[in-house]
Amino acid sequence: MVFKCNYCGSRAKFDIEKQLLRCESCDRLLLDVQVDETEFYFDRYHCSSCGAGLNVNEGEMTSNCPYCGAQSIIYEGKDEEFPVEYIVPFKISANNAVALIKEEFAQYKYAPKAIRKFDIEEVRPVYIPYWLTDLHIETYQECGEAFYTGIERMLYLNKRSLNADFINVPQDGSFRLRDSFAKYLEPWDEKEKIVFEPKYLAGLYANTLDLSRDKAEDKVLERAKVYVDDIILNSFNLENSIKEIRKKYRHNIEGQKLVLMPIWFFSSSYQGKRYSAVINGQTGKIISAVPHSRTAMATIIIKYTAVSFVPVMLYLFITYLCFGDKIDAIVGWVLISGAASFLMKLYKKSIQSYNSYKKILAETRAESLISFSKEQK
Amino acid sequence: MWVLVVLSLIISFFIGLTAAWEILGRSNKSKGIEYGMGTYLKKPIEYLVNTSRKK
Repeated sequence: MVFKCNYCGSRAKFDIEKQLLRCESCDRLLLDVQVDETEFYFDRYHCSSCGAGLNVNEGEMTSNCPYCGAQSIIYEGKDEEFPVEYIVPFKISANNAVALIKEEFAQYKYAPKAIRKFDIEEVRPVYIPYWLTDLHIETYQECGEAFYTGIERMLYLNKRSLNADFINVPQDGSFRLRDSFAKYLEPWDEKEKIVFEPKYLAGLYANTLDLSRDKAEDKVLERAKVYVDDIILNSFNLENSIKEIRKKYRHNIEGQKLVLMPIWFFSSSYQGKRYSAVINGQTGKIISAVPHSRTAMATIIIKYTAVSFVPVMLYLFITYLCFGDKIDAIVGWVLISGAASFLMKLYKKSIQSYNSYKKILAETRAESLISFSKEQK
Repeated sequence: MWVLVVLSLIISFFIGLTAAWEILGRSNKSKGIEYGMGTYLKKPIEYLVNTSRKK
């Protein structure tokens, strides 16, 4: 399908800032456009403007003709395989998106300068299909608990039941966008969704739906189970628990709709490696991670090693003195165990933070994500 | 005494390394990216707790 200007007959593209179609040639904002009904249902592999063959990237539902440049929306509005009902239009324009990403990257003070002042190589607005699911879940869980009071062994059975109603839980329907990464882009304000019309895709890109309704339901249910399990788990005294937790679930899907969500994809490269950043096209939320410079790492290590050296030595010296006689030796062991516990906690917290960063960094380098921002074949 | 100095140096280096992991981990990625399922709750969850003693 191609949208054409009523005045000059040239192609029209959707203007994100004005939320209207705009003619590429005469630059008019168009309240009404020409849509030839015979062009509405078109061959998936031929340009609907000049009839030339199209090279369509896997998983995409829009494509640009290599001959005439016209964009075709490779989607049939009444296709049961893609029952899209709503769309959340882009609110962040290309200029705003670039400004946001530059501002974000400038804040990475431990990244190499080349990254902080990088040149964006590719920027691409893509609509990703999301399932929004309303779910009711009930769970009953029980766990045995035993402890010794000094006189007798006490046995208890802890029972928990929980009902929860979730509304509009998003689940991305594109295999190319990893679930973990799609979750980072949340929240979406579904109240801003409008009834889908193909004109919103004019000049933009959109991905096809890879995830069936049932599969989306399963994923949302799994996510809900993790959430309710976590609440219940925290209420058990696991130190005294003697048996594993018995769990029963019941659920009901109370609604499900397919909505196209707007996402900006960026990519750039540093030292031969490509990395990407993603922006929620509705809220402007940015997901990115960049490599740190080795100099920054060395500077931090040296700084904190130097600052902590004297206090650590003093601590060790006092501990050493404690082992002078038997009574003080107890204090010495308390000091040693306190220090060991502190260092262990420090290690766990920092490695968790670093691993989370590494995970996001790896995801921003994933070829599947970078491919979103690449130009079409 | 040298043992104390070397031990202090090792522990201080460990503190420096963990500080670097923590600082770089936090500062080189977007903030507040994790988003919980609790956001999509339609109403507060109904939660019943019951504990019975086994005989």
